[in-house]
Amino acid sequence: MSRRYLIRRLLLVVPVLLGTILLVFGMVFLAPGDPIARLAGNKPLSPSTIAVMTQRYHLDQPFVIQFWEYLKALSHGDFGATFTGRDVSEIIKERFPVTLKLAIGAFGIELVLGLALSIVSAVKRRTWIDSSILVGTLFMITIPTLVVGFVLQYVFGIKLGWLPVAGVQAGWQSYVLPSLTIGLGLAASIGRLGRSDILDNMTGEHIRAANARGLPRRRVIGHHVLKNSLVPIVTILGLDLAYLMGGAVITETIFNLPGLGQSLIVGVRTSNGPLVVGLVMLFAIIFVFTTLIVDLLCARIDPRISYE
Amino acid sequence: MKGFVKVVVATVVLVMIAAACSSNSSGGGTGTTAAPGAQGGTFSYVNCEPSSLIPHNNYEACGGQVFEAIFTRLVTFDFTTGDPVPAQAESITPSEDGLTYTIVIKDGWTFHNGEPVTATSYVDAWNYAAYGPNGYILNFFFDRIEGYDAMNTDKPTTTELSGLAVVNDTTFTVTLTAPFSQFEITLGYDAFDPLPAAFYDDPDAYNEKPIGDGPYMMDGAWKHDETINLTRYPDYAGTPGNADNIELPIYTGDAAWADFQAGNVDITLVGSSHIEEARTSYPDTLNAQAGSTYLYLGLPTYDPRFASKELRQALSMAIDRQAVISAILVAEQPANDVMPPSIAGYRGACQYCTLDVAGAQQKLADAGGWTGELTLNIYADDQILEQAMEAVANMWNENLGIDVKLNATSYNQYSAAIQGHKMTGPWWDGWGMDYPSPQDYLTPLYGSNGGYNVSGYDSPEFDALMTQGDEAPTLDESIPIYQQGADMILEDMPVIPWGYIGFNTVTQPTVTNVLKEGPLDNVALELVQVVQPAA
Repeated sequence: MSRRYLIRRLLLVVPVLLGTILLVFGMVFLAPGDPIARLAGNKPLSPSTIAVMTQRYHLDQPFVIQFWEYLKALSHGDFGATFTGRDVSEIIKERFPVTLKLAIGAFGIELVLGLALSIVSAVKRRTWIDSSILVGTLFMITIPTLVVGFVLQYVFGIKLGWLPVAGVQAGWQSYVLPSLTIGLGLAASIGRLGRSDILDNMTGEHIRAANARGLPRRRVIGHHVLKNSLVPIVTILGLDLAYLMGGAVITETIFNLPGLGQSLIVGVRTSNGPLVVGLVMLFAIIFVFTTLIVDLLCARIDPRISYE
Repeated sequence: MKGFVKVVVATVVLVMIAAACSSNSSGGGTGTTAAPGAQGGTFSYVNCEPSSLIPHNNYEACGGQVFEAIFTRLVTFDFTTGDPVPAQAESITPSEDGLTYTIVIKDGWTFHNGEPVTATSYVDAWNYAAYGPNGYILNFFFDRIEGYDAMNTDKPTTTELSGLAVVNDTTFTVTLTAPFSQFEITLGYDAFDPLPAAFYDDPDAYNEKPIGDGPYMMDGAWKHDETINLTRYPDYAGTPGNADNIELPIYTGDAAWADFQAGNVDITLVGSSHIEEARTSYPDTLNAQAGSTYLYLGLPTYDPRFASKELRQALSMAIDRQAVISAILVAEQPANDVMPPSIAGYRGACQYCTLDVAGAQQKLADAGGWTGELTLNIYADDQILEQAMEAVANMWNENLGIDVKLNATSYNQYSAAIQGHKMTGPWWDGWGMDYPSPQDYLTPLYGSNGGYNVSGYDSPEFDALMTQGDEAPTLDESIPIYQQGADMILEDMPVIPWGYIGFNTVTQPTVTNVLKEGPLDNVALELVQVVQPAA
């Protein structure tokens, strides 16, 4: 892997992040209405309270100054404070582990189940096993996350009472249903994608050659077929992981998981600018770095990529 | 007050039924029985994430419910009559001129950290909240006390309200800038809670584990977005709470209802989306009461097209509130006054709040009819509200022949148009009280200097009545005067009364005695009893 490729990719991170912050900050800034006045619903806060709050959040300053103040604080690792006075970095610190656990759970299901499905259905192609996997995965992909979540919650949480319905008080068990909610659909996509990739590769000349040389089937599939099928799968897996780390808004809401996605919804609903900007920026950072790692990984699997 | 008494009786009956049901189930030997007056046990009540746990810096219900348990306010309210009753206060006595209140607090009370509750605990806390540069949300509650203005200039030179004076350990005086007959009622709000000396050392630390003077204390720190756990304060000087421990798990959104159905939480409030389900699945424990939020359709009386009161009355008489509520806004109750039934002074006196098509048409003719299109404004992204207001639009169309257009805007734009007097037609709005007084449903909304006078109502006669009510020597004498003001509003109709948001609870058979805190929208957590397993 070339060092130049790595440096080029790392340098790209800077404008992407700056652009994201500018965009989100601008959107929040331009949103109509006075966020301070809304802190008390439709009740009039006292002028002195409004003055103190306005000054505290630089709300009386022009856009450029506000943006500059934000960047300045950010360079010290200060994400600012929400309009209710909590440090955004504290909220992230508290919520990130929840999102991370959910992401790991869902990603684990996607990876293990998705690869297993793709290999089994490719190897057993055009048998009843392959057909049922194809039908089953299609079914899983077409059901919206919202429905999967509610069904799992109702059946295993409310009716059978096997697993927690909401919150994270029950430790790892709290993450089982949410992880399944996201993981099953993702695994189904990977299963289908992987199947066609593997099948494509199976018809390659090098596979025929390997078969002709009498290599064991397991080695042909594991070494020659899978490795070449990995690039598109790893790319998709990487994007999925990046998306999962950004908080699963719907799933976190259904299962009342105090993760980043839930926080974003609350922030948007209450016009809490500093919270929204902080979270979206974090998502951008996570996304940029996860995709960077994925690209590096792909370049490692397939050296042709870094020379493009 | 008749309506409210009825509701309380209904509550008692429901609780008895619930108790009976749980004793019936004790056939298998593992069942339970409700022991009256039972103490002990742990229960959980669905709550939401508070914005702050410093009472003087919080203005929402999630925190309010926590304060209900960890603080004992100076004043509480009789559950049936709604009258203020001294709680942590021993007595509250106004002077002859109604300007100075002498407050004597009960001796021997302590905060959860052992510090004694003294007159200073109150005076220092109020000064802190009233001091402008501290930027506390409830700062504006102190603007009736003498010396407030001096503390809220650009550069205040004093940090103490001149109207507060400590007399001795258990006595202090409050001097107001003008007589205010409702002052005692306002003391039932958390803005007037006492704070221990420990607060001033580190307000941020206090916010994570508040120390109050109430029947329950924090059991560990506030677990943000997860739970707030409480435990009974062993040295509480008042009537101790029934349960040993209270868990207040924090939910955002619908998950609370699912968790209740799964039996993981003992008490929850029920909103519109689940009330039908609650009626069929939990008929025994569903307790539906009118909450304190008064909903109305605002009218732009500053717009000449809405200047005629006959037109406004016609619009009100042409809608069938009950029909819309039964079909769409199921968790609400139709309004028949400008304040909810839990407020002393409520009579249900609105004569134009029920459907009367002929009457409405007559009024419209008296007003000279209506030309053109009428815009009914709502905020966007609320499907249920949109359906309900479509129904209202249809009623106006059918009953009065007016063409109505629904106009949905983003919430921020919407509230800016309301407050800036820029509305071009009726709009959906609501008002929640700060303290249970008829005055709080009148002066802020219709007084010419009212903080939320969004309809632009301006009547010197009404203002005079409000002042007269404020100056009344006693609470009892103030009520009929405010009612005269309410009569003016019901006649002039600067807003169309719509309904009251319900305070609807359902409970598991594991708990009994779940009561609304009188006129306040809280569950009285200290009264809840956990049904003990049969010995």
